[in-house]
Amino acid sequence: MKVKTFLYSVYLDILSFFRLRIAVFFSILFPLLLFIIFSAIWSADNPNYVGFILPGLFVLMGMSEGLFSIGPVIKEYFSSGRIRYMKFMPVDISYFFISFLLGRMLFFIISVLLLLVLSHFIYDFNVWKEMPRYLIGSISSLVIFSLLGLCISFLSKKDTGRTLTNIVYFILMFVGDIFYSMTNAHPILKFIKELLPTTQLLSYMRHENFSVLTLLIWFITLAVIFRLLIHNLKIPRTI
Amino acid sequence: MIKNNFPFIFKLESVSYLSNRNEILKDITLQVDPNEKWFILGNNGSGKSTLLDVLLGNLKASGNIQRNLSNKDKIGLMLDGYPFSNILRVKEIIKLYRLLYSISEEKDRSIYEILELDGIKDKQIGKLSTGEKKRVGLFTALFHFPELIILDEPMSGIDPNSQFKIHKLIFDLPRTVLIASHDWEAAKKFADKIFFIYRGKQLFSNGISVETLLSDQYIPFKEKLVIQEGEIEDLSVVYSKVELYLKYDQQIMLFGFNEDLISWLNENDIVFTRTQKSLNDVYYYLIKNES
Repeated sequence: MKVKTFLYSVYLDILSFFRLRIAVFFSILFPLLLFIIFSAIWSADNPNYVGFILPGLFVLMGMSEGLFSIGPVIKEYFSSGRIRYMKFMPVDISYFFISFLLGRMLFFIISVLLLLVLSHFIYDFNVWKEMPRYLIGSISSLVIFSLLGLCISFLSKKDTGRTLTNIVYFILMFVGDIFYSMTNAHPILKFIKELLPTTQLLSYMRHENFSVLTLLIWFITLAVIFRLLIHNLKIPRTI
Repeated sequence: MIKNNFPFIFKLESVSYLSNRNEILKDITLQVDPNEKWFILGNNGSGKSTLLDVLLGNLKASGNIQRNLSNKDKIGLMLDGYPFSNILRVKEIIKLYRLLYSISEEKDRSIYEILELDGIKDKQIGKLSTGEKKRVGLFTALFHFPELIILDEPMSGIDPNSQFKIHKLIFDLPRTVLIASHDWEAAKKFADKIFFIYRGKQLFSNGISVETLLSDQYIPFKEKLVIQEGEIEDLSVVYSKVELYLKYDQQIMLFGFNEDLISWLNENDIVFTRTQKSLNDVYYYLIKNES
């Protein structure tokens, strides 16, 4: 694999992203804005709130990136017929996916770091101590939600894909301890909450008890489903 | 010349392709040999683009399919749809392709200039016209001097002045070319082999040369009279004076006419043209027989 070509391909993926203003807003500015608003409201009464909301925002960013960006874009490679050209280019087809994913991963990590820098300057939050845990948790959320985004995109038809993604996104967001703790929720809701990857990822980043097994099951199941979907996919002839 | 030790590039035997229970390709048999220039001709929905996808292995079809393809860097493709992100600029796409294929700017300069890409290099793909997109697509299919070129409707949207130069680009080098097209005139000029397809069926076995198609083997007349549909109210009078007639593209083609018919048309002030038979005529003649 030619390094220069690979790096240029990653650069183009990042460039494409920066040219989409709405994507930049929701991936960078929106989490920063949420952080400022939520922490301004709650951190006065609760000094630990910054340590609570930051993991929530990292998982939220992973969800947005995976469900609304990575999944649909890779699906588009197939549905637009672009894959037919990639097959006949002088590099392996995975080259394009890897460069795209790496571009998004870099972008995601920059967004995470920006949020950490902001929390340090506004609330003097101990960034260095938490950074390894936050990075591992954030990247794990990106991987799991990207797989979930891919499965939803490939499972759904063109018109229903966006709706289904929105439903999953809001369920995960409101049931998953992102902005507030659901300790007083109904037992059934609490049971469902424990099964969600958001809860386990957040628990890990918040130094609470978490289940690696639940995360592994999510990862393996989604990876297997995605592999099966790709295997059985028919490449359409026209856009 | 291309060093190709294989006797053929593509070989299809009794190949059929079904989509949603519709038979898109029916019992196709053909063999494309190295350095042949093929035109796959047919009307809309005849299965031309599907045939290209089956040849490339993008669609799984039944029957026997054999391929002896060159290395990937020696294949040039332009299918329906483009492989570019709408948000990238033309110059960014071109740079990526040059890096992917290790081709320097100097090497592809002539192709870049013939396709007049300098004027659109700063435009985003999504803001290009159909013809401009086509030119970028043609560049990515041709800039690396491929040994096998597969193009789907390469000239639609391209202005006639540029078409000649682009055809020269495609056909001047010894290489295998497959074009799915409506461009009957280009086919007549450049094709070694013509492949007619209609409703997924080939109209004759394998590809046939333009000379054979235009010989008396199919339509045994050299000339035709062309009349616009609607010019004559009672066509039965005209049909009784010719040996063969074809109707397509709002025109009536009359073959096997005599001077009496020409006098009759002149007497009745009916506008007509007298011209040589074309590939379209043979295609529609074969369809008529098929029907």
